[in-house]
Amino acid sequence: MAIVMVRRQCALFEGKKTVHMDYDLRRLCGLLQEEETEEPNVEMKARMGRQIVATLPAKFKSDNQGRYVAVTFSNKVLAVCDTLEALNRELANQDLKENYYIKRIGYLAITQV
Amino acid sequence: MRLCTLPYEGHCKLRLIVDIHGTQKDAYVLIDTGFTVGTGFGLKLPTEWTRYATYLGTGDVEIADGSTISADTIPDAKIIQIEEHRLKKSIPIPTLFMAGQSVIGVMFLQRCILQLDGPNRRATIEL
Repeated sequence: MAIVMVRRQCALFEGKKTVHMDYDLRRLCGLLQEEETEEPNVEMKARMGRQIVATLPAKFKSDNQGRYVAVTFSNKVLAVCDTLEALNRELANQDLKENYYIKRIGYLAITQV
Repeated sequence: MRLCTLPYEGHCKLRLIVDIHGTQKDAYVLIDTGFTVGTGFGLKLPTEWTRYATYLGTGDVEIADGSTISADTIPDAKIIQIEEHRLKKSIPIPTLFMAGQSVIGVMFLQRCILQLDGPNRRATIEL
């Protein structure tokens, strides 16, 4: 998402006194982003992952019903395999640099422990 | 073949050194033949150790009481030492990070000969 720097003058009225401020929208966005850069916890990642899988094309999901899929949080499908063991083997062979979400399509859980 | 003798009194634990994306950690793991290959994982380590991973996979896991929780995983932890024996070649093992006792399952155990001698309260593991 591109962040466009905008400078505007903002007039605030404090009673009878007018205060003029220059503000930088990008700085405001950056300040907000700084507050939100805390690493997401496992529940948040799972929630995000479920949303990403929910938006996968319907044909992909029907063609891969019951199979295990790994998707990154940038919406890239890393691998689709018949078993979780095979998926983990496939992922171990990739030069992964980002987090991902694992889902068994059509099932609530990927495994029982 | 390397042979290790372990105490076996009510449970059997194994000392491992595990590499998590370059960080080596000592783990005392419970030998659990019920942690089967069908789970897709071979090792369970503490949740706190996710900090050593450079990337994590997250998934929803059904636990013993039937409820579902979210857990982090990595496909490529490596066992580099078993008891006092440093391995010439590390053993890759997909790993779950969850609360509770660390556990080693059949994905690793099936590489070994494991003998459980209850009356003599000892076990041997041969790799």
